[in-house]
Amino acid sequence: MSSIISVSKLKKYYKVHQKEPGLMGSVRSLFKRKYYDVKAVDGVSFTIEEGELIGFIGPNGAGKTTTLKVLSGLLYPTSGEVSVLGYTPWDRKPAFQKQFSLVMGQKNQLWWDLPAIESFILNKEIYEVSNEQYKKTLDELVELLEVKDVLKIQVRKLSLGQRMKMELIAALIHSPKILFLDEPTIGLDVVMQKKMRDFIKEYNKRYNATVILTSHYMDDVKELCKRVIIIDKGKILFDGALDEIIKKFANHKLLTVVFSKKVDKEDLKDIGVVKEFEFPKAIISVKRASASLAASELLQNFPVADLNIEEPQIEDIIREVFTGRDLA
Amino acid sequence: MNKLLSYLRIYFLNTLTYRGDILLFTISGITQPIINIFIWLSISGSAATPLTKIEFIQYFILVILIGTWTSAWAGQFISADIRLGRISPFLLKPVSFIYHQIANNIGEKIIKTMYLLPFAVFLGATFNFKLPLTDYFHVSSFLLAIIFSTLLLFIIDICIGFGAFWLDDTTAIFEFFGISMFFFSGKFIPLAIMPKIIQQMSEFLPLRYMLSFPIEIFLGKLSTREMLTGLVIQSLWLVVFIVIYKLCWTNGLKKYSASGA
Amino acid sequence: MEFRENFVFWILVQTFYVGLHLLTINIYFSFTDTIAGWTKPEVYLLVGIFRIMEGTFKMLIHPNIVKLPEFINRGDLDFALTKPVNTQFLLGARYQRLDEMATILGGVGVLVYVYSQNLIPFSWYSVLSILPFSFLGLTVMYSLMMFFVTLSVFLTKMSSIWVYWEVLSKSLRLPIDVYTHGSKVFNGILWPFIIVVTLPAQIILGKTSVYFFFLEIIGCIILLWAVNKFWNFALRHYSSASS
Repeated sequence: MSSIISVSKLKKYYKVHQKEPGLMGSVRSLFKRKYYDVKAVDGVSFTIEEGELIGFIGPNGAGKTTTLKVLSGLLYPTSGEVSVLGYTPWDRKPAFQKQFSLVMGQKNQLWWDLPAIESFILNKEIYEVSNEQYKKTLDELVELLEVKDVLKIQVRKLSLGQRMKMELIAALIHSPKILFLDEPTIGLDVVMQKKMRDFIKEYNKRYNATVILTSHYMDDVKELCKRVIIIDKGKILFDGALDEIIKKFANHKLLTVVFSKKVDKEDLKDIGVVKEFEFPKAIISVKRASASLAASELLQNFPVADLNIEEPQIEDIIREVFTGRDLA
Repeated sequence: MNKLLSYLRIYFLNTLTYRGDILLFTISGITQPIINIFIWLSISGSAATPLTKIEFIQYFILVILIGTWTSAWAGQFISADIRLGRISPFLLKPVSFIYHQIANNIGEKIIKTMYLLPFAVFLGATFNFKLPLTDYFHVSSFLLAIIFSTLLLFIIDICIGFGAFWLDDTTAIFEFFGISMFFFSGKFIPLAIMPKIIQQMSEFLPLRYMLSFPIEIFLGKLSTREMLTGLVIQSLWLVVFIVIYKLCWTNGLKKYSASGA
Repeated sequence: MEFRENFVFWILVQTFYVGLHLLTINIYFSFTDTIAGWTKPEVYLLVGIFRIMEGTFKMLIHPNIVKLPEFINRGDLDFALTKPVNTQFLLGARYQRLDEMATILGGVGVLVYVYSQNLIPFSWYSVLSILPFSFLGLTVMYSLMMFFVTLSVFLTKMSSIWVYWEVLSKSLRLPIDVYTHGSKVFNGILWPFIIVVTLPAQIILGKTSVYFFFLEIIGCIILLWAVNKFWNFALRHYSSASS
């Protein structure tokens, strides 16, 4: 029993019935329903060792959240084997549940009208954390997240950032060995996103907790994950070191330009591959290494009002991984 | 046990912050019984009725109090939670789903009782009611009946809520249940006044045992034998619905897929 | 749920509820011929008129009132005076409110029954006057609801304003005489509740002079004005308290 998480040929299909519009459709569906399968997860296998910090990335609907839900025991798989900490997650044994935590971005489990500390105390009881352990963990987390002053304030009166921090503490008060994070930075501003990432990194390092996060933000993954699993349409497209992906596939960057005067599209071809061109805006794809060079070229030779250097979208990278094509 | 107490504590604290709204819920709960008092007083005013005016007032005050203590409301919220995938948080934690509902139920009732007790005591004193409880057996039967009634209504309400595992819309079942309560539980009209056929049916249906039965015990209208028979029937229904509850929960969860994000 | 399936279901439900309501009235009248001076057909008439008013209220006005907590929490204080009929709601995809047509039809059904069985002498005058009375009744319902909702702004978290309609609806289904027994004091206190349905029913039945119709109009105007003032006051107070 070496790996802390082991998934083998996991499949999760949903049966959805389609209702035809209109009155006749409704009547027909009363008698006979047409079902079709939605293949949310379609044959996924991987293993994870203790202490790893892994990112599941993929476009919306790829199957990331479904996989997390199976790993945390919320869903029964259609077929396949899953073992987490030696348990079958969907048996939902209390001994298993005490050792992990699932945090979904934007969903809160804190009691809205009460101070956050009350929610912590409740979780302490639910997870049967000893008083000493609770105090120790609480102090550490509060210090790490700098929320000492606002513990006794009603959650509804906290700012979004403070609330997120409290959510984290509530989720971690029982010192889980595994932390599932579903879209943890969604809806947060840039500053909060960074703080969130820093915290996750620190938590993983300090406590050797295994962290699995799903995200469709490239930056989350870049900053945190050494290993990345790319999922699309329910299948794993890539499982390996992040460096490999970036090196292999995302070897270009996007220059988003706003021009102050009309520019000829042909002239831009010297800079790089023009992906979009509609005055005054244009998006140019350039090789990663020469991105800043290309940018300064643009600024020197063209009437530029605004210029941004951006990572390519995850969707693009995945499309690349899927088609095996280099789009630069 | 600690877990249940923690839940109770937090629900009570939370309910306290909603005490204004709880007052409104309490008022909502006593509206119909008070209206009924007026109706029966009016009827008694112009013709003979099986119960005297005082007895009507007494009866409906008991409906208010005992009705509040035995009330349950979680079912419709559970239906909504199931439909919207909101019971997932309950499935992640090593704690039983039902603790939440129990704590919510008791927590609110404590506050509602705080609102109602002065009201009931005031009315009782005004009309010079005497507590008709006689001996220890009477008192213990009454307490037992109330506990069973509360549990019974609580479980049935949740079982109907679980219907959302299989049905798109459980409103119809709740409506039907509400109407059955209307006729057979003594909520609207004392069972003693209802036509014979209704009285007979209510002997074995579970509905009487959720409200009218404890009231009948309290008012001393039942013989020892009738009390014991009633308690037995109550417990049988309780067992039946606990079984249904467990079946629904296990099988419903199998069907449940956490929807949404 | 979709409109078409639901509508048929609700018509059946409303028919059933009207039937249930009439059944309980029958049970009451099995013990006596008059209740607080009203005979059974007269109470039926009142029930019919009330159902029509209730259905209209729940179809047009109620959906807007339940949105108020939202607006208040958002600080949308342009709502100086709530528009009772927001065209957005009438024409938008709020199909489920059209179920309340079924309630109105239920009320009409009761009236048809009462008149066709000649339980109450028929006259075009009395039937047609139901329309203006319904309109006045609606304004009173609106005023009463808004009064209580305004109270909520001060006292509660506004999550339970549905209670007010429940209480109003239940208590208005019967002649107010059942509660007041003709006591002048209580009649004086409860006059807004009386003018919703009881007074109109009395006028139509000829139990009260027609001139009270004008008093009714004055009463409606006073209520609307008073509630408007109260509402504005509450909003000013609320916005200053929560800045």
